[in-house]
Amino acid sequence: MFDIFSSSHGVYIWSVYGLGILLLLTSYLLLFKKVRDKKRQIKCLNTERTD
Amino acid sequence: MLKNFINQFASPKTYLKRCDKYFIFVFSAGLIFLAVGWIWGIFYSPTDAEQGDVYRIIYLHVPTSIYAQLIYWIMAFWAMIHLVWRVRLAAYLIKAAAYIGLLSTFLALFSGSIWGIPTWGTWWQWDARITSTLILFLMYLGLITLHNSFNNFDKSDRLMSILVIVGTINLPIIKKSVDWWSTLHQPASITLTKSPSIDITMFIPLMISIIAFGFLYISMGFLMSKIIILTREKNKTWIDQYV
Repeated sequence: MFDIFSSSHGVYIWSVYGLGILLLLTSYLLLFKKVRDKKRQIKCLNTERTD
Repeated sequence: MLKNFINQFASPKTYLKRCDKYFIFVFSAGLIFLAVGWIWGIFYSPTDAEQGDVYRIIYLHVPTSIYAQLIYWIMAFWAMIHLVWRVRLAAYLIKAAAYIGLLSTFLALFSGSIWGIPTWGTWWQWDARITSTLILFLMYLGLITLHNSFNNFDKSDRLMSILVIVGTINLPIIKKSVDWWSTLHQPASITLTKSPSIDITMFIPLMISIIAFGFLYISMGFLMSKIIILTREKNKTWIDQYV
């Protein structure tokens, strides 16, 4: 099994995968948040209209 | 007949329902494939005879590079549909895909730069493959910025579709850059016509990672297009029932 932290190339590998995971995770979190916000915004608009 | 087929799938309402129905399956499949591909590739595939262990960056670099180009081809297909049949949903999907393409191209450029440090002795070189990929990144960025700068959505959708089709000229250049010019970047290890030039124990986790990114980008596309549809169709009556 490859030891990512003791290998001389480990720093390149974990920096690439670290940023990759971070970017993918951030993208999903932002997208989930944005979908929720949009739905709330539309619900508010609906309430205003019916009032 | 083709028009009826397109109309059946072109309704944003039907599309949103399908997104909600399939999202969890596609997203879960992406996560499972990614975990298997990356754990296998990073920790259990053998060390490369020439590059040592740094080649393990391949499991992020190759999938993101493939999808950086593939997403643009898909955008061009939707651009054609939007221009020919005036399908609104196609324009929404182009915009959603542009964000994902931007992310994928950035990851491809970043991972390639880091890979270049120990193997080429430099993180950047103005060679054909890297420069044409940078142009692709700027094209994605330009399309998003241009579309956001318009108040008239119909006009910006049409303009974006035309620009996407014009921009496809860069894709064969990226693909063939390693054959047409002398570049630091190696020629393709995987092609559709020849057997792969990498060992099968490295190739299988790579294929799993490519499939994983496919699923993840589709699920990301579902969310992104959902945001765009909710923004653009917010005054339609069906949206009230949907939310």
